[in-house]
Amino acid sequence: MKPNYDCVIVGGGPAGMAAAIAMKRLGISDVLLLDRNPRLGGILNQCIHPGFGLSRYGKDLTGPEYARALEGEFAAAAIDRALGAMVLEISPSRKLKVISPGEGFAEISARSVIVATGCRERTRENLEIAGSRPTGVFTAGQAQNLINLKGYRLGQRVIIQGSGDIGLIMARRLRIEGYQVISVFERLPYLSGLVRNKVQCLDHFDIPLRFGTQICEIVGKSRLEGVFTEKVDDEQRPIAGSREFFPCDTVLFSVGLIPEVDILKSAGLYPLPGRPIAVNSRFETEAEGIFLCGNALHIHDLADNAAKEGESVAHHVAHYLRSREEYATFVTQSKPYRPLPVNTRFNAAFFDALEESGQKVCIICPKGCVVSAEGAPCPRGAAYFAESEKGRYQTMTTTIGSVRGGSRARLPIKSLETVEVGNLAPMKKAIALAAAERTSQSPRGPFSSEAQFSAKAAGKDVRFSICD
Amino acid sequence: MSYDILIIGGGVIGCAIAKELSLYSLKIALLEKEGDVAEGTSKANSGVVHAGFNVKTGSLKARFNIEGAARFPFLCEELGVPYRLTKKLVVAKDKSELPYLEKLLEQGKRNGSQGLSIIAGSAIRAVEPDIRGEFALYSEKTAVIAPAEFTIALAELAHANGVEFHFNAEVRAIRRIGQIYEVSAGDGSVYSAAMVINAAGLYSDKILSLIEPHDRSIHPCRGEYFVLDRVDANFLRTAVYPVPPADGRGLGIHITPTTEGNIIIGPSAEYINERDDLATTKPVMETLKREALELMPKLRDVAFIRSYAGIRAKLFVAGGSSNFEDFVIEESRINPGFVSLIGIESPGLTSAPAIAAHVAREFVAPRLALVPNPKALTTRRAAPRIADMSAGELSRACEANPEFAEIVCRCNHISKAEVRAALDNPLGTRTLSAIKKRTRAMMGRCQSGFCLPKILETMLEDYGMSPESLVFNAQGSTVVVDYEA
Repeated sequence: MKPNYDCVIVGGGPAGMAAAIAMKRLGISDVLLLDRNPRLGGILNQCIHPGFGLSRYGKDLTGPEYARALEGEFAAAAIDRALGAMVLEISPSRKLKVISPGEGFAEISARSVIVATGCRERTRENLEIAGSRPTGVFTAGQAQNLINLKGYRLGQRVIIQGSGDIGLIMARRLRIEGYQVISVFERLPYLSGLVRNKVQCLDHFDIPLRFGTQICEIVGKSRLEGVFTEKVDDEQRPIAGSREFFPCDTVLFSVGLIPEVDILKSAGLYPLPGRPIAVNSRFETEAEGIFLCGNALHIHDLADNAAKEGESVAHHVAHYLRSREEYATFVTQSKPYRPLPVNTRFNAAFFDALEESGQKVCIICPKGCVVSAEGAPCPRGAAYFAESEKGRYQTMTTTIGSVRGGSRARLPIKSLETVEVGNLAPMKKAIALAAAERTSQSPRGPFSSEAQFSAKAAGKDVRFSICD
Repeated sequence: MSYDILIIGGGVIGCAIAKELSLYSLKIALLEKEGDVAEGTSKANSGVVHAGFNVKTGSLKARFNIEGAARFPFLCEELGVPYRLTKKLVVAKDKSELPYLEKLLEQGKRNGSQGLSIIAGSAIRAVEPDIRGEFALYSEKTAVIAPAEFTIALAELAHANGVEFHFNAEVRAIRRIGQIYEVSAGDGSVYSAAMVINAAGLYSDKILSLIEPHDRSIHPCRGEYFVLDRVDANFLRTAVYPVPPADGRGLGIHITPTTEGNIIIGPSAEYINERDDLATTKPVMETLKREALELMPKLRDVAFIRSYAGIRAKLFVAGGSSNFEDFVIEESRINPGFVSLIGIESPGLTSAPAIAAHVAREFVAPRLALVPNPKALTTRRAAPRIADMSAGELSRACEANPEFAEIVCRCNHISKAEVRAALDNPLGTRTLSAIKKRTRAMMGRCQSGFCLPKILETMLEDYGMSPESLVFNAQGSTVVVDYEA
């Protein structure tokens, strides 16, 4: 770290890394990227499932693979970085106070700052759900961290509130890890996450999804004992007499994400609850020279889109650094970012109709066309239908034990061929047993010598690759 | 195990008494049923150091409130804990409520409460620009503290002076053998002592029942709160109260800035059946919001990050009046040396230092020689916090110990070094709640979303705790069931 930079980027997730890479390409190399975690990648590192990178890399990658790909580009760009570095303050004149175990306390002056600090999860407390405060209540991303990065087991019988993507993804993760997932509840009358995730993460596992239902009370004095739910009408008003009790020891909330911009308070910008920070047409906040992008500005559906936004902000910052006068002529007024329109099409009636007619929703692209034996709007859709009739198969992702930096870590792995859904949990057990039999202390874990290895379940051999 | 004195209850009262008596050469043990001090009412209240105008003239409540409040600024300094002189407004919506303010002012003056005046209109706005209301009683001596931290500080000082703290030691049976009390506790031990001080708060009536019949009963009265995100110091400087409801249950739903820069709203007042029913309820949450927003509409601009409940130990005496009972602090007539403190509700926190001095003087001194312990410490230093450090201090701290530069809690800026200090706390308690109260981790906007994984990893891997032993507070409040190697 130096005391001065043309640009300091706060946050090394997809938006921040993509911005840094783009800056270099635009000829600006006096850049510092800061991240508070010991590794780059942000939340990607805990998203061990596939579905990343289709637009940036033209491949279907897992979160860690996508993070390593971006990290590779970032390393090639030879940009300064500090990891484990926490920005405590950004003054309105862009002086940053930073601490990191490697370099202690530092003050840095920046001509421009890109804030790409991501988001945090809405909690049970934000929803103001009544009841007691036992343990066993998690947010979905928090559970994802504990399970995927730490290998902790959180409980046995799980309820998930919210049909956001993290909740759906976690339903599948839990099933692979041998948990019982009792149900997913969604307060709204339609699906919040991607249809692809509902099909692959719930339907394939016969996990029920109940629309218009919300947890209204948490029960348990020490550990969670269960939840009361209630039905709500289309205006989200509770329906009297609809209370129902579900015993469970774990509940995950996947009920929305909130841009994490607390650091901007030190620059004099206070977000109002539920409202994003205002930026101008160049993603510059009302604090001069401080730009905002990625999930810290608004919640993106895909990591690729956050990365794209990081790239465009890099262009604006490059412009700003070259000529402030010229930059100013392109700027229009500050306004809060308008969120993406909500897709209400995938509601209970839609899924009920599919069930009755024996048709399916195609998950190859986000359009969500209805496909059946009679036909599909495109050949890919027809192929999807034919394939899906053969059974429930998907890529398996899980983790194995490893060591990183002298401490326990998990290594994400994915199968190189699809696995029948019923075999996923037995396969996970088989892998854990195989891993336990090997005693390698290598940093790459028990299967360190191989980039790939095989595991057997239900009489079938499946090849896996290490994603990290 | 044999002692001079056994204190039952590790709330603020038990810990204040422990600290007071630790200044003398006495052998003392404190028994607490939970895994840490400040696990009951003492961690879930408004944290207000009252000026003494809300309490009936001539009562013990009035006397100890005034005496206690006067000690607080010095005591907090000695204990190394925050004391924020917020001052206080009791706001009358309109002229019809003015007589209540006048009554409070009169009562305050009779009690000896200083710095009171009635102000109106623009004078209110000069104190708090965004508060509604036409008239207000302005109290310039009201302050706020961090009640759990304060209780912990008292306990740590007592511990440094030799008081033993026994956790998960719920008192199950007490018997007197001659001049000695034998106390059997849930930790499997039997403790004996010449004196027993029952400071069991919500359970003080039950503890007394273990040794003699009596006519007092504690009725739990729950108060629910909201916690708001941290705000700029000028957003709200003053504790703002409505005119108290006439039923005597509490002081009304008020808006209080905390020592950490958050705002709390509450408490409600509702009699409940179970003494440990800390659930929050939807109708009360809605009422809290509505009433607070009436007082201060600008609260809409702040995020509500948490709710919680605390329980008042309301005393009922058979045949007594229903809405005012004074503190009961007395020695048993049939069991000499058995002292009970019952019904220590608001202003119990404010009164704690005075109550402790009173117990030492009135009940302990006549039975046991109060010989000052020459080695006793009178001050305690808090563990360093990076959030409170200047740039220079932070720079030196990070250099001396790189774990000060390793952030665990991003919301409240808490380092790994602070979490370690909390895990190594002198009382020897290692729960998530103990870390939460000592560091303020898990209390921020994310409500443990980001810091919990790091804290669990520290406890399981650095400290080698087993998943079964890693609990939030109560036994069974596990977070992780197991983990894969």
